[in-house]
Amino acid sequence: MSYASFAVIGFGLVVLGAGLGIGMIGGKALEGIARQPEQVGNLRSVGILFAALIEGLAFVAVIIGFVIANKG
Amino acid sequence: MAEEKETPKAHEGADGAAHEGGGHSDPMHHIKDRVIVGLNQDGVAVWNPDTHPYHEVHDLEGEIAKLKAKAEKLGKDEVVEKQGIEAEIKVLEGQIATIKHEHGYYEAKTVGGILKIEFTQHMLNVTVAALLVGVMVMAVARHVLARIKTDQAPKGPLANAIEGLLQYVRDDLIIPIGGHHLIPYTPLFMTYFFFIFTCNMLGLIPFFGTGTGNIGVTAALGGSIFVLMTGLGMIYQGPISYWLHLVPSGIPFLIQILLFPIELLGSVIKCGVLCMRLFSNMIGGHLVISNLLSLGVLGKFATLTPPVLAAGMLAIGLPLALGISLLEVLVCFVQAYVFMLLSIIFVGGALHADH
Repeated sequence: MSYASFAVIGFGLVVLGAGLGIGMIGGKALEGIARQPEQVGNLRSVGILFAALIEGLAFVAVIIGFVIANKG
Repeated sequence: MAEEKETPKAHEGADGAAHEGGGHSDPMHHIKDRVIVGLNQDGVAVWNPDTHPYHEVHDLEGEIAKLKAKAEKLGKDEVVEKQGIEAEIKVLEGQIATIKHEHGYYEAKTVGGILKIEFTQHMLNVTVAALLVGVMVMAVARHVLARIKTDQAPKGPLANAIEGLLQYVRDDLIIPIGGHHLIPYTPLFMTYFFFIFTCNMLGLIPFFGTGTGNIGVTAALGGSIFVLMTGLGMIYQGPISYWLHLVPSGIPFLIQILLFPIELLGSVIKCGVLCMRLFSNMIGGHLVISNLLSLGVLGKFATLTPPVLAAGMLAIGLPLALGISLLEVLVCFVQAYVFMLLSIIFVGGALHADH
C-alpha cells in the first residue's frame, strides 16, 4: 500500500495553518481600518504583503503534495 | 491525473482529449515545457519535435533495468526463470529498436550528458519578456534624459509611472531597510521587479507559457539573490567577518556555535523559499485555470465530437477561468513586488548586520 495518501494529508494541514494565519491578518487589518479609516492604504498594503508571504508556504506545500500524489 | 498512468497506446483516438492535438489527455500539457527547436543526435535541427517516443523509450529502458535487477537477485539454480526474464528483456529491446528506427525519432544532443541543446517554450517566453522590459525601459530613459537636458519634466504616463515607482522604491523601501549604501543597487531591484512582472503577465496569454513557471528560471533568480547577498556582504563587511557576523552577538558562545550552521542553512533556505514561492504561485494559478477549463469535458462528455467538446468547454469553463485569471493579475503583481521587497530585505540585512 502506498503511503502517498498519508503524506498528502500532511500537506493539507499546512494549508489549514495558512488559512488560519491569513484569516487572522485579515481580521486585524479590518480592526485597524475601523479604528483609523484614514490609514486604509497602509493597512491594505501591509496586509496583502504578509498574506503573500504566508501563502508562499501554502503553495509550496500544495505543489509538493501534487507531485507526491502523482508519483506515489 | 489517472489518464497519465495509462499505457502509451492510450493517446491514440479520442479518450478525454479536448485539444485538437488529438492525444494529450492531461491538464498539464499546456503548462509543461515544450521544445520548439532542438538538435537531434545526428546534428540535424528539428522543429516541433515529438518527444513522446523518447519518453516511451525511457520508460521501456526503466523496465529493462528493473527486470535486470530482478534477474540479479535470483539464485544460481533458477535457470528457467532467468531465461524467462531474458526473453522478456529481448522483447522489450526489440520494441525499443522499432521505436528508434521509426521516421523522425528525436533525442536531444547533450553537452556533457546533462544540458540538452534545444530551445523551449519557456526560454522563448523569458527572452520575449527580457526584450520587452529592455526596450520599454530604454525608451523611457532616453525620453527622460532628453527632457532633462532642456530642463523640463518628463511627459507622458509611462515615464511618470516608472518615476513614481522608482521614487517609492528608493525612498520607502531601500533607504529605510538597506541604508544609503544600497542606493546604487536600486536599478537592480527594479529590474527584478519588472522582469518578474512581465514574465508573469505574459503567462496569462493563452497558448503562451509562463517564464517563471519553470523551476529553472525561478531557481536562477533565487540563486542570483543568494550570490548578491553573500557577495555584497563580503565586500562591505570583509570576507571572513561576514560569515562570523551571521549569528547575532551578545549571546553565550556555546549557543553561537550551535546557531552558526542554522544561520548558514537559513540564508540558503531564504533564497530557496523565494524561488519556490514564485514558482508555486505561478504553477498553482495556471493549474487551476487549466483544470477549470476542462471541467465541461470530463467523463462521458469526452466521447463526443470536437465541436461539442469545444462548446461545452466554452460554456462552462470559460466564465470560471476568466474569473480566476482576473485574480491571477493581482497575484502576478503581488508576487513580483514580494520578490523585490524580500530581496531588498535580505541584501540590506547582509550589508550592515552588525548593529
